[in-house]
Amino acid sequence: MKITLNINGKKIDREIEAGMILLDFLRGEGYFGAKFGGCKKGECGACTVLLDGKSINSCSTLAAQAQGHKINTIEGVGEHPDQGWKKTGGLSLIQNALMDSGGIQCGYCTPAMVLNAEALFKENSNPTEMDIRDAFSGILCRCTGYEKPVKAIEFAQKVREGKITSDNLEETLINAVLPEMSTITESPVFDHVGKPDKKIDGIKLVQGKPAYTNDIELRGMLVGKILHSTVAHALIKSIDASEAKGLKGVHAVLTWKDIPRVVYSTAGQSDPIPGPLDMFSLDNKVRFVGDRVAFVAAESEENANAALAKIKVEYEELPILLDSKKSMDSDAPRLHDEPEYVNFADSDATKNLAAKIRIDVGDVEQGFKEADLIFEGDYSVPKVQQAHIEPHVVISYWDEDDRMVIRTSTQVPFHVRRILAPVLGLPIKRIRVIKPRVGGGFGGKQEVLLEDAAAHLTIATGKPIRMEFDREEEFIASRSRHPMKIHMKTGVKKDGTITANEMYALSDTGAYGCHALTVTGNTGQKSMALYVGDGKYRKKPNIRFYADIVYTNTPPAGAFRGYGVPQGYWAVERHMEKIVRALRLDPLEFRLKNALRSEELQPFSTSWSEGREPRPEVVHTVGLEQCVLLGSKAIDWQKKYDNPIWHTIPGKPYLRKGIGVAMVMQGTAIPYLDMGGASLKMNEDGSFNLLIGATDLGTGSDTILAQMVGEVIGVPIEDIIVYSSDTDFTPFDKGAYASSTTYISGTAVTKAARIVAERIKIRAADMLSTKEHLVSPEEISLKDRIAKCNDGKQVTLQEIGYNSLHHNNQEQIMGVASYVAPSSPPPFAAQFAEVTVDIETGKLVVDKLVMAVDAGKIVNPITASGQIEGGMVQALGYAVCEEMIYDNKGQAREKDLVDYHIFRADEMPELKTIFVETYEPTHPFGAKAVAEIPMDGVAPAVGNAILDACGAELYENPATPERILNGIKEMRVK
Amino acid sequence: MIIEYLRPNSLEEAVKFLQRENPITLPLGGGSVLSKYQANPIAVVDLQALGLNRIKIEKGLIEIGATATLSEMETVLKNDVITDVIRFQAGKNQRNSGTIAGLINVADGRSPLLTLLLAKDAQLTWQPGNKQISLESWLPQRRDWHDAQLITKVTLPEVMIRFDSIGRTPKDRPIVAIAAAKWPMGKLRVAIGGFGGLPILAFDGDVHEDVAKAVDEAYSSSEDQWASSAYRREAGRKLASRLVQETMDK
Repeated sequence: MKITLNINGKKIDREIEAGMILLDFLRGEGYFGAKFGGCKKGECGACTVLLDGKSINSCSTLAAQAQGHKINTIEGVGEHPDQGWKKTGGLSLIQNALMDSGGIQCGYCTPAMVLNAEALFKENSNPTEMDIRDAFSGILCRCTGYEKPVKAIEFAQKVREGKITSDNLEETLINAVLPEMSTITESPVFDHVGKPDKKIDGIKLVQGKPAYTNDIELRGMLVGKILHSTVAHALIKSIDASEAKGLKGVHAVLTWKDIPRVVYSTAGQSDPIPGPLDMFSLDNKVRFVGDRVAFVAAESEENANAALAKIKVEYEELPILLDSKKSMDSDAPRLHDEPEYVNFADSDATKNLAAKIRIDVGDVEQGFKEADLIFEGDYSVPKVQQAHIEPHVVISYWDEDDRMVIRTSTQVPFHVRRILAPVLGLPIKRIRVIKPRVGGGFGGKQEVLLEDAAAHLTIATGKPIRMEFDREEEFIASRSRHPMKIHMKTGVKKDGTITANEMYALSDTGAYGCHALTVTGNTGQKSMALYVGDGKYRKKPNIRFYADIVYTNTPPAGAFRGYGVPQGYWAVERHMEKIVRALRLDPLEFRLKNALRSEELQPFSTSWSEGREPRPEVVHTVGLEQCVLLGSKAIDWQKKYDNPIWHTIPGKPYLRKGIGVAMVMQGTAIPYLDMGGASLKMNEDGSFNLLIGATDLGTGSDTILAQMVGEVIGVPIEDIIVYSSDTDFTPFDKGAYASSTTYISGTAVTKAARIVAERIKIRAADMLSTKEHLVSPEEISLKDRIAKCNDGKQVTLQEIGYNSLHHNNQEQIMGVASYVAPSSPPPFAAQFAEVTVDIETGKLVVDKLVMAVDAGKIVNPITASGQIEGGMVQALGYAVCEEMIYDNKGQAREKDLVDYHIFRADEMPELKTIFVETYEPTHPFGAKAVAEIPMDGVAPAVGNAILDACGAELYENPATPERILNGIKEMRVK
Repeated sequence: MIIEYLRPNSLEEAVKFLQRENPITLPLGGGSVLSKYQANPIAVVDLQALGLNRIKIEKGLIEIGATATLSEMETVLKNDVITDVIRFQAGKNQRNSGTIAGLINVADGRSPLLTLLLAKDAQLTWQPGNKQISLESWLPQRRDWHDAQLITKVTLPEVMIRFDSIGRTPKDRPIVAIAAAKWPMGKLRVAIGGFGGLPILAFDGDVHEDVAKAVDEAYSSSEDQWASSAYRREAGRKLASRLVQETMDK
C-alpha cells in the first residue's frame, strides 16, 4: 500500500506492506533514534516517538496508522550546537538538562526520555515530580534508577518558569544531583579527577545518533534467526531443513550437521577459560528449552520466521533435571556425555558437576569449638536476568580482505575474537571485532552469545548477517544470575565475636558451565571475607567456603553485575541479623566489631583467585565505619531502630514500618590476570586520541578515563577523543567486567598519558630553551592546555602539536601502555533500607534506600553516583520482584518485561547515595571500584527491614507478599 | 500477519469490512496487540476516523467512546481512583495509544482497569443495532465472539468506586485486586482480579452482606504460578473488608 508520512515536518511517500511496523519504517528511513527493545507488548518504550505530540510506542503501531498524523522523532528535537560554518539552534532545554544532570548512562532509552519530556512540557505548563515520573512511566531504564533524569526535567522546568536561567542550569543542576561526599583520607588536589565532568558521549546519545550495533544498514544484509529447542532435554533424532531451505528469500539453514563440532565456552574471560568447555555452536543434543537447534539466514524477518517454522525436528526426549539438589544424585540424568567435554579443575560431567570449590581458611572446626553458640540457617536466591534494554545484537560480514568483521554489542571484544577463532576455523588475525556503543550489559554481554551464529551464517552465505534477540529470546536463551541454595553455619561468642564462619553454596549453572567456577567462587571470596571475627580471630580468621556448581536443564547462568556476590550477601547478612536478634546485639556494632579492617589480609587471598594461583593481598583502605556512621545518620537509624512508636502508623493499624542494614564488600578487578591497554596520540591542535579496548556499557568509563588523561596532560576532557573499541585499532583490554575499568584500564590510560606528557615536556623544554637558558623537561608543568616553565615562559599544546607534526624534528607524540594489577582492593558499603509492611496481607513497600560507599577516590561523583542509584534499583528488583520460574517441563514463566517486572519511574523509593572517600594507594588517583557493589546489600537490608517491621524471617528472596505473610504466620506460631 | 489495512470513514463502511469472511477482518484500536499479530493472514480495520473517541458525562452516566484512549479517559474523567487505576494499568506510552475497547477485548484477569470496569457494571454498546450488553455478560463469551459488530461505546454509572491491590511492587501487575463500586441506594458490586483470563464479579448485593466471604469464595480456584489460592483468599478478604468499610465510611 502507498502511504505518506509526516516525519519531523517532512513528507515521505512510500510503498509499504500493510503490516509494516512504524518502528521498522522509521529505522528504514534512517531515523535510528527510535530503538528496538525486543519487547512484543510495548513495555520498554525505547521505540518512543511522538504522534500528534503524544508519546507512543512505534513498535506497537502500524506505519499506516500514522498516516495523517504528525510524527516527531528525536532527530527533530535538537542538534549539536557547533556544526562548523552552519549555525544551529543547539540542543533543546531538555537535552541539555539530561546532559548536565548525568541522566544519561547507556543512552538506549534517552531519546525516549527526551521525547516524553518534550511532550510533557507541551501539555503541562507546571509539571510536578510525579507528573515527570508519570511521563517516564512507559520507559524502562535499567541503568539510572531514574533519579537524575527526573531531576533533569525538574530543573528544565525551573528554567521554563524563570526560576533559573538556562545559563546557570548546568551549575544548579550539578549541585542538585551531586551525592553527599565525605573524605577520610585526604588525596592530592586534582584539576580533573574528582570533578563532575559531563559524559563525553552524552551529546550523541541525547540526540539519538546511530551509535549502537544495529544502527547501520549494509547492502544485501540478511536477517539471521535461531531455532530454539521447545523441549528441555533431548537428542535430536532427526532434523530436516530441506523445506525451509527451499522457501523464498531463504539463503541458508544450518543444523549441527553443517558446521564443525568445536567445543568451547561462551564465557568472555581471559585465556585459559577458568571453566569447562561444554558448548557447541550447534549440537545434536538440546539441554534446555531455548537451546540452539538451527540457524537461518533470510532476506526478511518474515522469510526467516517462515523458514524456522518449516524446519522439521524430531526429538528423542530424555529425562529432565530441574532441581539442583538432585543434580549429583547417582540416578540423575546426565547433561554432558559428549566426548569432547573438557574439564577444568574439579569439574566432573559424570556427576553433573561443572565446578567444585573447597576453601578452608584457618581452623574452622576449632573455631566452632571455641564458640558459645552456633547458628545455622538455609537461604536461597533465585535466577534473575540482566535485562539490558538493548538486546543482544550482532552484525557480521566479510570485509574486502576476506576478514570476518563482527560488529557486536559486547563487553569483551577481545575475548570474542579469541574465542570465535577456533569455532569458526579462522585464525585470530582474520577476525575483527568492533564494539559500537553498548545499550547496557550488566554482565549479560560478557558472553559470546550470538556472534558465532551470525558468523557461521556469513560463512555459509557470504553475506552480511544481522542477528538480534527479541525479549523472549533474552529470557529463554540468554544468560542469568546463578540461583543458589546456601547453608550458613556461624560460631559466635556471647559478646558477639565470630569465631568461625562457614558457607556451603549449591549453585545452579543451568545447562552450560559458563562462569560456573568464578561466579560462585566470588560468592564466597567476597561475602565470606567481610566478617573475619574480632580479637585473636581477626589475626587468624576461621572461614570455610565450599560450593558445588551443578548442571540442570534450565537456561545457562552466567555473569551478572555483582558476579556471585549478591547471592552470598543475601545469606551472610540475613544470617548476621539472625545472630544479632538472638543475642540482642546492636546490629551496627556487631557487624563493625567483626568486619575486616585496613591493613588486614583479605582472608581468601591466600587460598583462591578465580581458578588461578592465589597470592596474599593486604587491604589498605576500609571506610566501612564512616559509611555506617553517615548512612545511619542519613536514614535516622538511632531514632527509628528499636523505637516502637516509629514502627506504627496512626490510623493504619495493619501497617508496620521497619528499618534494616547490610554491610558489604566487593572486589576491584582480578589481580595478576586481567590486563588493560591504552594508546594516546597527540594531534596538532593539542587534542588527543585515546584508544582503549575498555568498553563503556553506560557506566561513564570513557569519561572518567578521559578525566585521568586530562589530569596528567593538563587538558579538559573535550580535548580528548575517546575511541572504544575495535580489535584492529585499539590496544587489548580484557573488557568491562569485574569492576576493573577504573582501576585496570584507568591505570593503563594514566601510564600512557604519562609517556605522552613526558614527550610533550621534552618538546616544550626544547621550544622554550634559549642560548642563555637551557630548559629541562623537569621544569615544565602541564595545565590548562599550556606547557609552562618554572620561569613563567610557556607554549600552548597546540603550538607543541604543530611543532611536533610539521615544524621541527617531527615526531608523533604517542604513548602506549598496559597494566595488570597486583591486588584487588575491595570497596565497602553500608546499605540501609526502610520499608512498610501490611501485616494482614504481606504487601510490601520499600520507602527508602540509603547507601554509603567507600569506593576510594571518586573520579567523577556524578557518573559514580549514577552507578550507585541504578545499581540499587536493580538490586531492589532482586529484593522484591525479580525471579525466573520454570514449570516441570522446563518452560519459563517469564518471557517479557511485563511478567518480569523491573522498576518503573513512578514507583521508586527515595534513594540516597553517600561517598566516603578513602585514597587507595595502589591506584594512580586513589580509586577503587563502584559499579558492582550497589548490587550486594539491598536485598538483605530489605529482608532485615521486613524482619524489623513484622518479625517475618525470609530465607528466600525476592520478598513477595505471600512469602512475607507466611513469614509473619511462622513468627506467630513460634 | 497483516495483509490489508483499511481505514473507513463511516461506521457502516467499517461494519461492512468486518463482515467479510476472507480474509478474516478485525477491528484495530490502538494497535498494541494486533500490530504484533503473526499467525494467519488478516485484514485490519482502523477505527480512528470514525469519531468514536468522545467522552461524555451526563445524567449520572459516563459515556466513553470505544476508541477513546486511556489517556483521554484520564484527562476527561478527573476521578482520582479511576486515574490511579488507569496509570496502574499501563505506562504513559501505552495509555496514549491503547483504547478502552481494545482493553476490554484483550485484557486479562490481572488487569486493574478491567476489574474496575466490571465492578462498575460497565455496559457495552454494539453497532449495528445499538445493542447494549453488560461487560459482565459479555466477558465470558469474549473468546468465541465472532459477531461482525463493533463496540462503539462503554457506559459507566457515576457511582463511588474504590480499588486496592497487592503486587510485588507498587506498579507490578497485581496478584490480588479488588474493586468495589457502591450505588447511592446501597447496592455494592465487588470485582476481583489478579489471576486468570478474566476478572470475576465476586459480589453484587447489599453493602451489609458478607462481602469478604464472597471474595474468599471467588478466589477459591485462583492457584497459579504467581500465588496460591490460600494466599489470595486471605489477602482478598482483608482488602475487600477495608474497601467496603471505606465505602460505608464515605
